[in-house]
Amino acid sequence: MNYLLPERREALAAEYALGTLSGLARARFQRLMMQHAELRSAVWRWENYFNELGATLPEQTPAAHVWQGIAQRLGFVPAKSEKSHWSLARWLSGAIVAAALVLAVLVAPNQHQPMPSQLALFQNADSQPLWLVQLQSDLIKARATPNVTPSLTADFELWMVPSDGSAPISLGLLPESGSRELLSAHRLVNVAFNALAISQEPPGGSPTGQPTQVLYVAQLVAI
Amino acid sequence: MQTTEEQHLQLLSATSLGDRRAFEQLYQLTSGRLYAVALQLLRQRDKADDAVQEAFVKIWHNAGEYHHQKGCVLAWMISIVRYRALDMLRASKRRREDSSTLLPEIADHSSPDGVFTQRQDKARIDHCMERLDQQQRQAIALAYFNGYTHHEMCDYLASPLGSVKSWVRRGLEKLKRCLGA
Repeated sequence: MNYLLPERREALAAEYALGTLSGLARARFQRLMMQHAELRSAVWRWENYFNELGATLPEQTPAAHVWQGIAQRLGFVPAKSEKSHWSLARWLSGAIVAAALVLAVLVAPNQHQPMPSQLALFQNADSQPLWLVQLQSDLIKARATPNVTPSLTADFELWMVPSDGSAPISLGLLPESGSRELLSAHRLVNVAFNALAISQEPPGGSPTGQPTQVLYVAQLVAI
Repeated sequence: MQTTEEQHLQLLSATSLGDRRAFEQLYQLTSGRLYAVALQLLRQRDKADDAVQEAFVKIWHNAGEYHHQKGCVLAWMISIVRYRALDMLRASKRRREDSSTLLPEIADHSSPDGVFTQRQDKARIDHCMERLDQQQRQAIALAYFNGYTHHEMCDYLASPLGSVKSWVRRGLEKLKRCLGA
């Protein structure tokens, strides 16, 4: 059968867009669309005609949680909203216990001994990597992946989360593209920590010295 | 003054550059339309919620792939949610058939004619739909708005498969001539 004869092409494109082409015929047509631009164009034309019909249905407002779900899936907001660092510390404790084996290698940084390199990878809800942070003996390197969406209205701040549940300590603002070296504040503070967190802040960083809205948390792994 | 289409295009374009505010605004302007289509097909709010969420996640990731040739922005977005809803509908039908349980009662589906009279605006395709025979129009509307397969139309319209297929095919041919496709 020649699918590219204009009449055949239009008939199949119309049934594809309408939804009545099903099963194997639909799968075969989808494959042909990948190969033949004229089939795809015919489908776009029919989709446009039909979906103008759909656009005339009376609007039905979705519930608020629908947008919240989208924002969470795209990593715009944390999967579980945390308003303060204290609740963050509580939330982290469970994860820390679960990851105890990995974390056992981590000790308080000592200013007189070289610290092994440690890595933290921040991911969004879809497990796409966002930032890679490497702690070396005398500097912190942070790299933003292309999955990071630069924001004009917010900055992203990196924090170390002390193991004893005390308040997080700022390590500086993260790059929203490319890489940046951050102040090696972790060398100046002699506390044990085993996780890093990223918060969303107004431009310029946290106005209070504490995370405003924690977006992501990642464990550190020694390398 | 900016038309609705220009506004949608501007927001979609900003979305393709990663502008979350533009994306949220686009959602606020269009989600009611997408949700109406999903709900009409799936008949259950939780399923329509899922279809709309998945559609907007896809729109965020694929905003840069929109091209004017694909139709107006809203029709392109509706196309995404409608295909997703159709997939969900087909998957749930397959599951029901696999488990040999009875098809759910479909009598509560609003009739396509009802859908036609409820609609607020008139689309370009409307006057062409009006020129179809009643059976052709009804078959196409059942497929578009309710996601019916040929076999479901046979049950709903109490007509043989050959007739149903022919109404759809001839109706589409007539639409094509009328639309100049």
